[in-house]
Amino acid sequence: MDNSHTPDRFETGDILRYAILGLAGFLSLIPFVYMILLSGMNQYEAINASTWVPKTFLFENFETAWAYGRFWLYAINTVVVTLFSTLGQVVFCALAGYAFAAIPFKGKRMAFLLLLITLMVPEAVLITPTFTVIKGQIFGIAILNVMTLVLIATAATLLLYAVLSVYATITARQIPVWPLTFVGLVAFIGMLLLAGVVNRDFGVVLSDELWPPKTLLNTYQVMILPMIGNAYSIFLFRQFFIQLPDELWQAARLEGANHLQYFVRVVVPLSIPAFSTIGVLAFIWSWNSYAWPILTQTGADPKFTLSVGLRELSDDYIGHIPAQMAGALIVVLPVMVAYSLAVRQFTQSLARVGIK
Amino acid sequence: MSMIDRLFGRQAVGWWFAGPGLLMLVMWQIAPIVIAGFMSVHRWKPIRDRYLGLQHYADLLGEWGPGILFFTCLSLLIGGVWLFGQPARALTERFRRSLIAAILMIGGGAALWGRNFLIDAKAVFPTLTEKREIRDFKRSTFADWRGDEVEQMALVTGSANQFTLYAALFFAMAALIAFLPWRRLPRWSNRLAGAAIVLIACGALAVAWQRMMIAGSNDFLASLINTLFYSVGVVFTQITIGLIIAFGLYRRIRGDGLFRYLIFLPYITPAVAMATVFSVIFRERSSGLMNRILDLFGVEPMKWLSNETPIMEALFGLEWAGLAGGPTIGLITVMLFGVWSYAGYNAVILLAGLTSIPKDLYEAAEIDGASRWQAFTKITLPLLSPVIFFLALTGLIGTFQAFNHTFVMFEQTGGRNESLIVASIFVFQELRSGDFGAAASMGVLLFFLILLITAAQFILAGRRLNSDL
Repeated sequence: MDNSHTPDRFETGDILRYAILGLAGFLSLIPFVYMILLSGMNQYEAINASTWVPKTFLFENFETAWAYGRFWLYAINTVVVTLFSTLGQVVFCALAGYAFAAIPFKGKRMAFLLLLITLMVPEAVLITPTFTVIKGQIFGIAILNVMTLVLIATAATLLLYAVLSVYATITARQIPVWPLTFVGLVAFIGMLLLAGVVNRDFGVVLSDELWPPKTLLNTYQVMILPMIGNAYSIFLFRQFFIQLPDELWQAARLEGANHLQYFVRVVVPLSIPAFSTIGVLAFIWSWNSYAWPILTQTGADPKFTLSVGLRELSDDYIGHIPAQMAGALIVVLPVMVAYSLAVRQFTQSLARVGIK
Repeated sequence: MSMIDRLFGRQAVGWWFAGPGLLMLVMWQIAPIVIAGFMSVHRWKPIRDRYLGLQHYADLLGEWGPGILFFTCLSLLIGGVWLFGQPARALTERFRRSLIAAILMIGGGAALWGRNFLIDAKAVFPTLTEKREIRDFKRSTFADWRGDEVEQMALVTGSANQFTLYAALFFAMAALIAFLPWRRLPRWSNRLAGAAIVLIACGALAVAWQRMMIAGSNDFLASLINTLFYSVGVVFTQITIGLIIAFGLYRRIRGDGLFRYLIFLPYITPAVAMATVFSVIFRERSSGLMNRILDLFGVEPMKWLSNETPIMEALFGLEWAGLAGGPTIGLITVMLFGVWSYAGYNAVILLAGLTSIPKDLYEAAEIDGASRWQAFTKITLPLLSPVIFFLALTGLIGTFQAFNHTFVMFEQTGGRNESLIVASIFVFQELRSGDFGAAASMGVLLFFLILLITAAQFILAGRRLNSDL
């Protein structure tokens, strides 16, 4: 699949191709069309066996869904969870993928085998022990807390470092990247602490999030942490980075760059398709998470995500199909937008996993 | 080497890069397996209690005999298929002979053990008087104890005789292969032995399954069957459809970008939302989209998701139960969703495989006078097999753990259609009911099953693979 988009000359077999593609495209599309049509109907039209199109498109259904599915609250939760798990996954999986693709190190084969095994572990195996772990029954929750803090610090450092060095490259200025990174980090932590002290509510939320006392139940953390390490993403990144020519690294090394500098200034800009693909995938996985929020959000005001909100809506409005469909549309739309932005890179980069 | 060197030297760079990601993997995906093993041998409801040993597994699989028999037979089955596919010269004479003989001896030994066991049981049974004792005894023998006493005795004698026959057959074959002074085994020996092993394993598998259904957790085993239907059905269908779509996308035609966009769309849309839409499409009222489409063809509206009729009965009126009856219509509806959402993904990856096949191969075939079908079976499929293997492997693992949409659709039936309960739903329900130990043991069993399936796929496809995944 190269990028030129001139169609081939027409031949008779193309009629068959159009028939296949037309049918497949139609079948792919029809649930979406049906969803949109139903979301604008009133109750009577929805259960009437002879209407296809709503007489007037009722936007009230969206209001109903939004209000009664508590979508406003859940949308915030979803955004928080999705944002952090996507960021974390992209940062850490890209680094690991780069290590597997380009750095020789001791135990690489074993680690890679571990990765492949992880690809096979079904979630039904993980859900029980993971749930026990986050309830603090296996080891103290403090270990998890320390891990969270270290992860956040690492990710923040790396992101700051990356942004600063890209800035330095673009403006061609010599700036002390590492010192600035640490200044930025300290400033960031200081700001958080300050905000926590000034606003007590925020402080409580922050401390509960970063250092929950007994269990991880009812925190955002619990929905984010398990999503960060993902074997499939690491594998995908490796497949990308392995295609970069070795001469690039040799040239960078002659200039005196280390792996991190090379990674941030050369590999990342060259692999935007990889990052957007895995970013969208991570976004979708996190957006889709369903069983885990249901299990772990058990408190008085659960931090459910939109998918769970849709379930609650279906329960409360069991006969109200238009409201359900409106809710479904609300959940689907952001993902469709994200996909539409990255569609080209998406299909092409996923294809690479399969062939090599 | 100093500590500093060890931590920050050139050898350590890779670990610094891979470390955080791998740590998260180990923490959330490897360690939990070990923890699950630990939990499954305890009573854990919902906090840790006393040590139970392997009680949870025994509860799931019934008794030990059938459980072990089940997993052994699965492995035997795989080995048999593998042996069947081996060319005659692939294994050294001695190795092959001892392997086949050893397997046959094991089979014979097992059959003999079964026979003795049943004869013992027959002797012991009449001496029991207490009701509880009798019940426990029946459970422990994993024999069929239906009917009155005479019938029972006849049944047991019959099984014992069968086992004797098996044992004799096994030993005779083993002796034939091991001791006959053949200079070399005939060329078809691999095939013969492979086929024999497959047949025996299938028979024993059926027996083991029956015993497990009698003594073990029916619900769990039924959910395994549902999962099997779901996985095999969805993976097979989506790869076939994906291949057809990939054929359609192969040549660059006008508007293929749009088609690609549309076809890939279902893969990325949130499963929970679209499963809700599907439940509405397949609702049982006459206003549901599917029933309205049926109405266009003059077919009566029917139940979809909540339909518990097995497919064989719905299509042919055959009232078979269990594995022979096939998936229910409800489960097939769920499978339709699975196929709908993953066919596009399969198509895109197959398309990449197709485009990587050099075009001159087809031109050469055309010059040699090969038909299109021959070109497809002799060039396309073999060269595409690594991709198909990749898709089948990841597809099976993925469908084995399918949860989101299956659960949504299951809940849409009000939780009443039990034929929709696949293994992951079962585990989830067990977990929510608070029996963590049992849930963990189910997870561990599922993991072993997946390992076995994966190993089987690698063994069976091993020779044809030229890709490192």
